[in-house]
Amino acid sequence: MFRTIPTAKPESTLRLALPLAGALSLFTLTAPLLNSAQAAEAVSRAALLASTCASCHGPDGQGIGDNPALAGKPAAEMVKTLQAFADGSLESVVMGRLAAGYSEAELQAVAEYFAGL
Amino acid sequence: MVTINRRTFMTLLGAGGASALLGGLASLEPALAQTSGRVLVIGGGYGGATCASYLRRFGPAVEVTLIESNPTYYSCPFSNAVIAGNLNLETISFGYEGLRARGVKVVHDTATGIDPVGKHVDLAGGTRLDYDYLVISPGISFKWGEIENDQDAARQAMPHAYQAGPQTDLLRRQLQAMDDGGTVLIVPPPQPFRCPPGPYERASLIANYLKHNKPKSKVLIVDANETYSKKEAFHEGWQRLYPGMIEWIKGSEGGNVISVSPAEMTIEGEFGERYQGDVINLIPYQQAGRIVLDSGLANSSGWCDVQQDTFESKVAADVFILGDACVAGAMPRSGHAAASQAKNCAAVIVSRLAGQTPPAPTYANTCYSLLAPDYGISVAAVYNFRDGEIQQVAGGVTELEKSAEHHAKEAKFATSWFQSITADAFA
Repeated sequence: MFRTIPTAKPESTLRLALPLAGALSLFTLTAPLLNSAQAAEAVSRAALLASTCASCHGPDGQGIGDNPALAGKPAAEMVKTLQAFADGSLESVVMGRLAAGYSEAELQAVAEYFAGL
Repeated sequence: MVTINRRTFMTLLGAGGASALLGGLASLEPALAQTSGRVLVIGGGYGGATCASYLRRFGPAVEVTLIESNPTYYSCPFSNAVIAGNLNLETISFGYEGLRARGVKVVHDTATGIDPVGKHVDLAGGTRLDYDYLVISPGISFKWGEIENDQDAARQAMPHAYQAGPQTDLLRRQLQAMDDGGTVLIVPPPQPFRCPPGPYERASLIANYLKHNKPKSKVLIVDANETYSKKEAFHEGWQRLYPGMIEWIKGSEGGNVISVSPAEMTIEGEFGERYQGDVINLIPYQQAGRIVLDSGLANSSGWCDVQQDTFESKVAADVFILGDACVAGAMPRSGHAAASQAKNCAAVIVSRLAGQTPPAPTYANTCYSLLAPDYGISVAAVYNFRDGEIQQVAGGVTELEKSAEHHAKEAKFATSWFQSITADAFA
């Protein structure tokens, strides 16, 4: 059954123990090319946006049934397709209604995320 | 915003630079991978199962325990196709092996008490579980007594079939036993209720069954409401597919049912109208699931108020409430909406455990309704958190006057959606 484990650090303590500045100082010596703390994000906005797509396009965007795979698609191609859905130049069933809800930066981020899978 | 993942990062640096920096990177990544803490999730439906799964995906070292009373989950989405005999109950049933394989500890027990101050949950089996964060996705419960005799009637004579499972099968069997020429009554409750287009999809698929098997029969929707989700698209489809078979009576014209008689198989409207049915689907008034009502986490209307950017309860810190039970601004009460909220909530919790600010929320809903196995309509929308609440930024309902081919595509996508969202939650 469930094993009782001594309470982990409560959130408030964790927050104090790991302030952003502390995490950043780890970086400054080793990774000057990194864009602020993004590479260290526990959950990136791109991953969260991509998880939205997984509801219809299969876990990790692998594709399922009639809903095509997104993983591994070139980012530029995906952004172009999504923008065409959004402006109606490419006919769609539901994607036009959905793609119109995201900024260009969001479409770019999600496309790069899937391209990298 | 451009996110640099590890692979891009390596490419940017080139092989030499990467190897020189590997030490630094390697020492950091395990720290994130080890983001730990104990999260309890109560309720293994679309919201709870998806949240448990994504807590493990976003935070592989987070200890996640899912508390769910039943070993099998019966999906409400697609349950109308079971009622109409297009699918069997097996097709809409899901177990928890997939979540176990993902490292979620699944406990089949019932939460009986929540202590948000002591941060623990008591189970009917006698166990007490401590948590750092608690997620509750309890679905709905029924507000019995709003209609006279409703609880007694819904048990057998007038099944609700609005929590899928045995009730779904009961309504299916009653339909199959009905003689040709019979009348099916569907009684939706006043809004808000889970799956706003649900009763109307049900009317459609029942009409489809009747058209092919008992063509002299009729469906009468006796509705407490003045309008409903996707109304124009439903009415257009009914004209095309089932002319004269489905009638809708709205609240102000006698649709507001106040009393039912299971012995006589009649229902009574507030102005004294009486309707006789051969099969009656009585969908009760609704509120949030029992556990949040009993724990003081619901408002006076029986729903839970949450911070709509995190889904943290407005009443209890470190307690998150998802799905049908909560008030989520412009988002409807649907399985897809619950799953969308669940992913955002998982991101919030894993980020907090890592001592970080969570990513800005992003919500979506795609909700298909089948009017026939090859005729679908949908509502699809994207939502952002603005001015303290969730607002729709794009989306809408399937336009009118679309071709049969378009509706056939929607039906195919609906099936793929079902495969996908259930795999995302349970596999």
